[in-house]
Amino acid sequence: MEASSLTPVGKGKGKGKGEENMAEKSKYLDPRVLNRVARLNIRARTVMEGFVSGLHKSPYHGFSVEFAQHREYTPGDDLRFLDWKVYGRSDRLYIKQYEQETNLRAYIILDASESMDYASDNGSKFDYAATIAASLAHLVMEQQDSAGLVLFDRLISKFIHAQCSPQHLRVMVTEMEAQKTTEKTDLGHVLHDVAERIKHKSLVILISDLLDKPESIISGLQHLKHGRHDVIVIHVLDEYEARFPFDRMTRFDGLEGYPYLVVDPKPLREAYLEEVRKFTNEIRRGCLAQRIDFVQVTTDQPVDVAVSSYLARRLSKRRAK
Amino acid sequence: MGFLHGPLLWLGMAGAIPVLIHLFNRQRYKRVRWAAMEWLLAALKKTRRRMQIENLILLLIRIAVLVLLAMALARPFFQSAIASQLGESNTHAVIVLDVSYSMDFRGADKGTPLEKARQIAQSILTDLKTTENDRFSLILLTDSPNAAIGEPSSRVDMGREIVGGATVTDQGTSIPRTMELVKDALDKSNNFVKKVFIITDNQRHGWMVAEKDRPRVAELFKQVTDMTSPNGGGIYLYDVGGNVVDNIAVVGLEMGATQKVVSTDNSCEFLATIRNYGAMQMSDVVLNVFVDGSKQTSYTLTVPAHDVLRQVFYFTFREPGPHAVTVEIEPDALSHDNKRSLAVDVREALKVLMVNGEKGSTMQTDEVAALKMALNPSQDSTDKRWVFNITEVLENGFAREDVRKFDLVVLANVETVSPEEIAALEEYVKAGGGVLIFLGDKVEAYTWNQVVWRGGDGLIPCELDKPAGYPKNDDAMKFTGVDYAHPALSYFQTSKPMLGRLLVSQYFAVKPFEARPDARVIASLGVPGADPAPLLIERRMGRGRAILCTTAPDFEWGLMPKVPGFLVLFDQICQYLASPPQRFRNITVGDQLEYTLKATEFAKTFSIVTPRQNRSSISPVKAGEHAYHLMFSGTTEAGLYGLERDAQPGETQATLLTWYAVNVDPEEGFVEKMTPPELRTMYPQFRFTYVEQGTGSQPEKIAVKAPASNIWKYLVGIILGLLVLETCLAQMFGAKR
Repeated sequence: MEASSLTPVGKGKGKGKGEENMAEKSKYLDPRVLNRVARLNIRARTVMEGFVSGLHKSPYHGFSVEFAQHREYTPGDDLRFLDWKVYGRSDRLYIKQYEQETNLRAYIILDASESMDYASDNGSKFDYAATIAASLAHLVMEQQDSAGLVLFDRLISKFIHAQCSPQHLRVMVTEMEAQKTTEKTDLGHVLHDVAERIKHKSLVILISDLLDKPESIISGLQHLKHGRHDVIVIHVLDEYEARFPFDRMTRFDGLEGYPYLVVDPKPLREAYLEEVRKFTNEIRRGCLAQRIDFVQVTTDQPVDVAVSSYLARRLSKRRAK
Repeated sequence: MGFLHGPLLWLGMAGAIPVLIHLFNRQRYKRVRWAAMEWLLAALKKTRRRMQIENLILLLIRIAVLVLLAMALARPFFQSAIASQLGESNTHAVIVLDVSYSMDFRGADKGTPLEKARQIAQSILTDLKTTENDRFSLILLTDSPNAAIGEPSSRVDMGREIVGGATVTDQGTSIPRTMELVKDALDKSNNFVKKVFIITDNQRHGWMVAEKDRPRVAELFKQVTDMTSPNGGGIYLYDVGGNVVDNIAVVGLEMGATQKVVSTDNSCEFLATIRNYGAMQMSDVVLNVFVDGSKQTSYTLTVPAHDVLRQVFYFTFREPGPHAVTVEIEPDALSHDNKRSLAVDVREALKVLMVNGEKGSTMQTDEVAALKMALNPSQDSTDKRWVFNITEVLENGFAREDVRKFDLVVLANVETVSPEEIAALEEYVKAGGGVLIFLGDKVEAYTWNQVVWRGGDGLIPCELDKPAGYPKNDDAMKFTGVDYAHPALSYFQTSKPMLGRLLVSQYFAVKPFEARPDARVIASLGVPGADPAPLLIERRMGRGRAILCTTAPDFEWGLMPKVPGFLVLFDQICQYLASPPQRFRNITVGDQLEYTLKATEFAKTFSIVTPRQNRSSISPVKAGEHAYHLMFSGTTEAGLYGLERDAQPGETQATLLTWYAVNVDPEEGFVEKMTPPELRTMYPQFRFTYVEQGTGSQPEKIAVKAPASNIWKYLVGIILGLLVLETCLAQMFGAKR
């Protein structure tokens, strides 16, 4: 899609005409997905609270502060927050409490290596991941937060700083659409690089098939965490990669420089799935140790379902805390 | 281990099918791009060994199923004792029992070879399991072998009875001929193991054949070997003969070399031949001479080792008709060859019909005058010193004569003969008559070629060309290329100069012709500057013979009548042609007796009286338009067989027509063995197991029981088991996956 064809998206909470047009024209902004996410957006604040709250305090005090509740005054409270109106009506001292709305920087790190180009019955993993990325960016920007995009394969191929504007979303989508998936992955190195580049505390969402050495990935994630970023890992697998449903002699032409392999897949299935489980568990444990959210999605799942169910989960976890 | 249907083992190649399917499937794959190769490779590394083992197990089972199926179809068997217990016996044993007279040799060993042979044969029969599938055939080995039980039989009791009652015959041995019967018996066999047991004294003579027959016999032996070789079968040669060959035998009795006709009141020369096969000189060997059963004389002889002794004796017959001369020596280790007989047809005279083609007034001009003088110098038909009783007719009188009344017909310079005359003459020759044909200036070659030669089918074997030679007798030619071994010319073997003085100036040239078994040149003329010209050409036809002399017996074409050799030459030739062939009266055991009847006798009845005085009626068999034969095939024992015409009304007793002297094959008396190496050299493709039994030890047992032949049933069971196992394993391995 040509970047010039995108129409700027309005700042309001409702969808503008230009946004609809862009959603119609961009394959990564699926209207169905956006609709689902929009419905999600009805609860956006709540969700986003669950999604991003506590990551960091806004550096701009008093900006975007909204009333939350009253509580009785106790000595030592800041008198600036006394509700004099209530005191006048009821002769009681109540303190107004405000919720601090975040000013979020979200960086979506999207894997654009050759392995992401794999597609079985559905679209490629990259398409799926890009759809998630676009949807999340859209969601973030809908909430007046800023979103950035990092495309990488062996190295970072595109680094778009976080901004909040409809044009910026269009730029991000355009970059994703223009991205070629032909190179090998070096995820660990890329994560280190990203950790160096993102100076401010941010929400870092890694969307990748993670086809790299687990220790290297975990090391990179550690580096990100070390920068006090909140990190979410969305592990995208093709449904065939997740289930390995082959049942006859197959020649697997390896991507990213792997040789081909002619093999009867049936006897391999169990061992393969075990390898997948083992890998996933290793990553999951690494994430857990770093307090990183780990989400595994497969390309046969609808993107909206995958994203919303994760957000709902995260919200419920937050509330539980 | 062996296989009944070995070629079906090729089906075992089907064992490659699972491998091919595997390889084929490896080529028929779906192609996909794949990102998670790291996991796939790790999974492969982890499961490769197990997969390989599982696949290998399944592959081996599938291959084994197909290979075992092929093996089952090929009907395997095992030779080992343990394995053989699994199967039913399925052997066809062809027992060849030598009953030739050499098996009666009583040497130093206890018992005769036949007694040992019977013991072995009984032992083989005992080993047979006819309640299972074993069968046997029984062949009695002689030079006229007899399949006592030719069809594969399970009647062991009958076999034991025949073996127990087997006695030596007077016959010789011919293993090649016997092998024909063995092959026939094997052809009829359905058993999958075929064994041939040849129980013989392994006498050298029994294996010998004419050089020309060697390839055919070698091929026969190879065929029998090939038929028995598969499935653990084979040929077992039991040698039951002893190591002693001391034996003395009468190996010959014949008339003197020049004595072709025996006539009454003339002393007749006989020659008996005694042979010592042993390594020791035999002294005081008494040779007794019998004529018509009466002992006439005896001789005491010393026969050197490995040598022969010829004893000449004379006898004068007083009565014409059939007579028998017998010589016999004292019994020794082998009695069958101690006696020999000779049937003699004594004639008062030989009747000769001479057809004179050029009657002349003097001996010089008459065509047959010199010949008549040579055959009967006294010109008196009653003079018993000369055997020829000559009837002379002119050419135009020939047609009126019945040639069957004569012993010899002479055609001398006859211009032409009619087809009818020649037909009668050929019929006469076929029945045993003799014809002597002289050519001459009267002979009309074209007619002769058309009527008598007939492209080689007629009475003369060569096409006449034209007269040749020199007009004057001064330029006469001599005899050359004489076959002195020929009975008609053998007299000149020791008197060659006599023949050399016979001079011929003219002859009738004949066109070249190929010698053939029934026609050949026995003497030629030396033609200066040219190839020898055929002079005497013999043609055999039926039981008789004709000799064509290409010159004339007169003074016009040479000077032959001038010298004594002329008399001797044509006396010998005429005796030869006129005498009934002795070979039809003196035969070997097993040969057929034949007698040609006169046309008027075909309605009468005849009998053969055997040496044991058994009488068998025989009936005439039509052998031509006017010819009838009597034939008798039962000459199973040596001795004199009398052919008698049964008593006719008015007669008190049967009339003896002729004697037949049936003698043993003298070679059979030479009991020297054929060694296995010699046999293998002679017939390289004849494979056999040699079992020597001549030492008097107990016969070595050769298991008749067949190797296990129903292994295929077990194989089918194994195959089914493997199929079940394969299904279960495939299920199990699949479930794991």
